[in-house]
Amino acid sequence: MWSFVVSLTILQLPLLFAAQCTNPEITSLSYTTQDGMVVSEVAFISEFTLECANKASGLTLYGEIDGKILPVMKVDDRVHNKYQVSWTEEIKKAHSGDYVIGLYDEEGFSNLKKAIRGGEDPKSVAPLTTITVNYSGAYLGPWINCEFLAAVSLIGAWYVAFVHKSKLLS
Amino acid sequence: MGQKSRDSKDRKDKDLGFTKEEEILLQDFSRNVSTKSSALFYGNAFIVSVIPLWLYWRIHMVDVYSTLIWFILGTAASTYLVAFAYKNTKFILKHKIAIKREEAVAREVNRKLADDKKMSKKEKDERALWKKNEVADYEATTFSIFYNNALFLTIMMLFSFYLLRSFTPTANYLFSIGSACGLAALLSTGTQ
Repeated sequence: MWSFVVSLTILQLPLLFAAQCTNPEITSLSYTTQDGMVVSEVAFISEFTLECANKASGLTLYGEIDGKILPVMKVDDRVHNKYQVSWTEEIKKAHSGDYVIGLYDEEGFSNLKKAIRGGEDPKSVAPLTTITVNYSGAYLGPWINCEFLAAVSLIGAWYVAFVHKSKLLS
Repeated sequence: MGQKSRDSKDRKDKDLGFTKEEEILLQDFSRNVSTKSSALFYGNAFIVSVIPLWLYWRIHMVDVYSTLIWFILGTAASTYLVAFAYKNTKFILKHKIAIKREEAVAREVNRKLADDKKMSKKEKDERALWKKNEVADYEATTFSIFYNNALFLTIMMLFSFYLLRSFTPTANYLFSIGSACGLAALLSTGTQ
């Protein structure tokens, strides 16, 4: 019995150490929707590499933005520190500028869930690290549509003609 | 001598029922248009009726071959009705323009013919009347084309891009061009 407990503890030790990441460093590459003319939602995708000072890898991560939990996927099973996080937002609600995503390990994530359940500010739980996705805004088409401009010009031309005609007929 | 030939001409006209002066006055009120004027009207009406085809071909992405028959029918009907609108508007405007320009034209003609002592007052008046008729005809023709083109294209544009936006391109074309030329023709029959 004792030998079973000892062997289980020994087997789990690397996992316990691996779950902690010290001095995390992020290298990220992000993409956001550029053309918003035919879509209703903007997509945000960030692919990042997490480097830990203690060489921890294969961590399970969770993302959080404005109190919304985001799944963080491992991009490649062979590369243990490369992840991807993505989400969408309604095009009308999406603001241009920086979006800061808090990244949590399992421990941090359970604290975060508790905080959200308890109605606390999610920001009170410090993330492991953060990544920033910059959204410069999607192109929503020209400010003035060509057909609108054409219609207004024609109404203007017709109005001039109508006024002139009224003057002639008066 | 001049007086004599003019009198004989007046008599000739009288044989037809009207004096020359009366003929000019009748022309002023006539709904008939000259062949030149008619060609101008139909030519312009055709050009303005063809313009929307580009819109449907390039912007609404209509398949030209399958819609060709509708395009031909629409253009033909539109050419006829827009030319009809030109004629009506011209008729309404011509007389009004003639009254408005009468004084200025008479002054101009009299100034030009002031040195011509041989010409009688009646002949000078006839010249002024003829000139007034010509000026009014020209102005009414050009303005009628401008007014009806503006009206036709405005209605066409509003129907095509706004009111009938959800229609299929072919239905959109038929209803838009039908409404535009129909309304232009209908509105031209009013007196104001």
